[in-house]
Amino acid sequence: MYEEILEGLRNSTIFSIIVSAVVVFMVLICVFMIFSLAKEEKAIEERRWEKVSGRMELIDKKTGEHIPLEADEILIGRHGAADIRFPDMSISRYHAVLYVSNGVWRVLDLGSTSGTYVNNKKISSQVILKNQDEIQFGTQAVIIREKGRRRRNVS
Amino acid sequence: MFHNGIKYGRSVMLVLLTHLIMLSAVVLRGNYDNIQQVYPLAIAVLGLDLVYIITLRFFYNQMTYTMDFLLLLILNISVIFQSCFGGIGFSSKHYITCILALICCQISFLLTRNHIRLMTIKKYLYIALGAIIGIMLITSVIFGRYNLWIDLGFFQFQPSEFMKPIFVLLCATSIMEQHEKKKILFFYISKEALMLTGAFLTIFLIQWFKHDLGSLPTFAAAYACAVVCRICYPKAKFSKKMLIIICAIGAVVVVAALKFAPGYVQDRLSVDIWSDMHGHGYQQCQALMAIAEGGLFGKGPGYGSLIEIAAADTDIVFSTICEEWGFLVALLIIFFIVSLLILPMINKPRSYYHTTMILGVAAVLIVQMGLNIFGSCNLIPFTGFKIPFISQGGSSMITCGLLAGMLKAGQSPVFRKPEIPSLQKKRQIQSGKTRRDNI
Repeated sequence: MYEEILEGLRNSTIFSIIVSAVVVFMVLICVFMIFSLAKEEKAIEERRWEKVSGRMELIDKKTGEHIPLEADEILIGRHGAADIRFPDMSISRYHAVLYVSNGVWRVLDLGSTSGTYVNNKKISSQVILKNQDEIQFGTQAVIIREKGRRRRNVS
Repeated sequence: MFHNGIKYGRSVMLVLLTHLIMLSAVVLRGNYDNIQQVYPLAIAVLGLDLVYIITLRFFYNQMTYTMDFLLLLILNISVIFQSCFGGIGFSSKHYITCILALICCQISFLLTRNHIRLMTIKKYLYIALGAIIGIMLITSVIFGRYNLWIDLGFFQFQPSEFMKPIFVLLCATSIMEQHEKKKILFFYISKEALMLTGAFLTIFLIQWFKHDLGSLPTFAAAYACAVVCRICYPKAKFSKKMLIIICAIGAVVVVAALKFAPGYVQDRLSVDIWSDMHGHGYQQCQALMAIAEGGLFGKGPGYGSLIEIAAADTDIVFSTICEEWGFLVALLIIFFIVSLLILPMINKPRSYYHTTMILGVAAVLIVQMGLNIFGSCNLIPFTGFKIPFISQGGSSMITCGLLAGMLKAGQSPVFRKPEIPSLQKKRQIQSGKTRRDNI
C-alpha cells in the first residue's frame, strides 16, 4: 500500500518540485542561521579581543596623545601607509612592528636607521613589552600602558 | 564562543534537521528496492553529526563553531549525494575521507592559527614542499614520468595535492617579513618574495615535467593573491602603478602560455566536443546531456545514468548531481562553497598573515570549483579538477579539510589566556595588596 502511494508520488512532477523546494529552502535557512550565529560570535569575539589584547595603548611622551592599538599587527613608521605614522625624519619609513599574540605585545625593529629602544636598550630581535615600558623610535618616545590607569612616567 | 550552549543547540538542531530532510528526500524520491537500503546512510550521516558536535562541545574549547557547523553540513550532504549515485547505497570510502577531512581541519586549525609560532617553523614549510617535489620526482622514476598517483595497495594518493595548503601557508608567512628589502641593482627586493617566487616556479616546472598543467591555475591564483596582498600592504597605500604593471605582465604570460603551450594542452584547448562526441569530447557531451535530462528538479536520487561514465563521481560530479537531484539542488554546491569563503569575512582576520592565508585558500577553492563546473558545462576546456568537499577522492578531500582548517584559523585568531602566567600572577598579587591597603 505504502509503496504504491510512493510510486504514484514519484511519477508526479508537482511532488518532485515540492521535495526539491523543501530541500533547497531548508539548506538556505540552515546556512543563513549559521551566518547569523557567526555575526553574534563576532560581537563576543570583539569584546574578548578588547579584554585580552586591546587593554594596552601607546602614549606619546611629547604630546601625551593616546594612540589605540586595535589590530594584531601594527606597523610604525614615517611612510604615509604606516598604521601609526610619526612624521619625524629620525624615524624610518618602515621602522618597527608591534605584534600581539595571546594578549602579549611584542615589538620588532625592521632594520631602521636610528634603531628601536625599549627602556633605553637597543633591540635586535622581538622584545616582549610590559606595562609602562618606554619605546623609542628614533627620537620619538612612546609609553605602552594599560588603558584606564593613571600615567606615572609620562611627563 | 557562547557560554550559553542553547545558542549552539539551535544551529545543531538545524544541521540535523537539514540532513534529515535530505534523507527524507532520498526516501521519497530515491531508487531503492527496500527501505532498509537507506538505513546505513541515515545512521552514518546522523551519527557523524552527533559524534562531531559532542566531540567539539565536550573535548574542545574554541572561539567559534560556525565553520565547523557549515563544514559538517556540506560534508554530510556530499555523503548523501555520493551514496545515491546510480542507486541508493552507502559510499563508505567517501564517508571515511569526510571523517579524515574533519580531523585534518582541526589539525590545520591548531597548527596555523598562531602566526608568530608559524613564523618560527617557516623553514620546515619549504622543507615539506621540497620533500613533496622529491617524492613526485621519485614516483616519476618508479611508476613512470606522467604518473601522479602513489599506490600503497590499500590507499592511493596524489602527493601534488598536498602542495596546495603548504603553498598557501608559504604565501601567508612571506607577507610578514616583506619589510626586509635589499637593493639589488636598481630594485628593492625582499628575500621572502624571491623565495616564494622560486617555490612557485619550482611547482610550475614539476607540473610541466609531469604533464599536469591543469592544476597550475590553483597555485597561480594563490600566488597572485599573495602578490596583491604584498602590493596592498601596508593597507592604506595601494600601489596602483605596481598593480597595473603586474597585471600587464600576468596577461602577457597567460597569452604566451596559451600560444606556446605543449601539443597535448593545445588539443584540449581547441577540442570541439560535439564533432568529437566519441573521442576527446565524450565525457563533456554526456555531462551536458545529463544536466539537460535532469532539468530543474532532477530524475530522483539513484535514477541517474551518468554513473556509468568514467569520473562521474569526481570530475563531472556537478552533472551527476544535476541529473539526479536537479539543477536547483546542484546550485547549492556553489552556494555552499561561496558561503564557506564568505564566513571569514563576517569575523574578519586581524593580521596580514591571516588575511593572506584566507585569500589564498579562497583563491584555491574558487578556481578549483570554477574549473570543474565550467569544464563540465563546456564553457572552458575540461581539466579534470574535483569540486572541493563534494567530489570523491582521498588526497583531494584531506587537502580540502586542511584548507578549511586554515579558513577557521583566519576567522578565529588566538586570544586565549596570556602566555606569561607569572606576570599575570604578579599583577593579581599587586592589585590584591592595593585593595587590602585601601581597606
